[in-house]
Amino acid sequence: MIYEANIFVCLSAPLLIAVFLLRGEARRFTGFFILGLAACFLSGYINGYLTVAAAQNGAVSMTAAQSLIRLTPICEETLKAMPVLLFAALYKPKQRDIITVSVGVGLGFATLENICYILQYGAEELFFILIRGFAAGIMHTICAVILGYGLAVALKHRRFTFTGSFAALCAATTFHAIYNLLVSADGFWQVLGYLLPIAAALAILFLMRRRGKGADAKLE
Amino acid sequence: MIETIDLIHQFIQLACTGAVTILAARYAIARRGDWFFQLLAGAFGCYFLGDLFYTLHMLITGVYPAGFSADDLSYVSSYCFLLSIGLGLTGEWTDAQKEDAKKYRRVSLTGPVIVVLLHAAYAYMAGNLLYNALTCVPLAFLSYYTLLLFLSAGEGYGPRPSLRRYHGTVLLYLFAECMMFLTSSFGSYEAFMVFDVLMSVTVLLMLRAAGKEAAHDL
Repeated sequence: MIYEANIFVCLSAPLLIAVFLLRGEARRFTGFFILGLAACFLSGYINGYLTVAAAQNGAVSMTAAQSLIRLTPICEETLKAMPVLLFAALYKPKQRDIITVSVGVGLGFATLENICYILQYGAEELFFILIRGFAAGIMHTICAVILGYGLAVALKHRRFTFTGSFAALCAATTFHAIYNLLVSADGFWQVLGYLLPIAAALAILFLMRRRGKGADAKLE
Repeated sequence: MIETIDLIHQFIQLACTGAVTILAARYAIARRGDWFFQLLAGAFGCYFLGDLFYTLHMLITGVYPAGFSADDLSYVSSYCFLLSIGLGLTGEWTDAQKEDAKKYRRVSLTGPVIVVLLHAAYAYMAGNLLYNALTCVPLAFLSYYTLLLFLSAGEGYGPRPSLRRYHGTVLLYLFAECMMFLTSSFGSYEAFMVFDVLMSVTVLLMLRAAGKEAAHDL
């Protein structure tokens, strides 16, 4: 059994103190990292409840594996999006800040999830640890980037703030669901699933570099 | 046999949506982050993600996802992105243009009425209330704004009158989507496939029409 609540308290206590000691962007990032941990902690309980409820739903009952593909991404991405949406709605931040806090939440979520998995399955095999770090960890970060970038574009234009934010959340959820679908299979599909987040991260880095070059050329 | 044809078509549609996503993203980069092309890339990207999930689910589990699933959410987000484009374009209207567009507002309401009636019929025959509610709302608003923009662009005013062909393709997209709902509620697999093929063609036409706008401005 994993005492997720204890791990959450242990991880967030020093970070909480750090929030009071830090200033500016570092404080914001640390605060949202803690909120990411909290989102992961909550999603553990809600996912468990949803899995049981879906299995007992007579009309459209789902197995645990099916709910991992269908329900878990919706629950996790919604919980991750909530602090970012609140931040964006209350403080009217800059585009870059939205992406930063979104990544903070994503990293916090991935950290607690990885720790719980490692405690549950052990840390003896380096291959397993690498998969957790480079696949699931990066996947949460990519979803956070998708949500953050989508929100940043949507909030720039008042007319489509609501629809744009919802669309960004749905896009992040589908990416998460595709990852879960692939890694829940065996063989080739599973390997493809583990490679998907890394490929997406490389594509995003490539686009960011191109955009950066474009901005540099414009300045020159 | 029909399942194999459907799977091949799924691959073709996946290739189409993937290609148009990349092209729309390239237009967005070339136009230094123009919101129109960013949102268009988002719409095509979400459609691509939905198709990817749908096809992978078939390949991995052997069945298409039944009931509400992540691909449905992705299609809904695609409608939301297209609706955002409509909202953004009408937001660029001047007060005089808004006044002129008033005469089209009543006619444009036929779009949401048709969409809501079709969804009511689909919900009556096939159930699936959550999915119906989720798709009906953005599609109804999208049909209203697209009709309004299409009609007003006909007179050569509005923020980007050259986008009239684009609005026409969005209307075709809506038609194909609604017919897919209707045919699936009747259980007509062959008719559903015909409209799915029309959807793939429409996605390509949509980018072509939007690309003309990009070429016009560059």
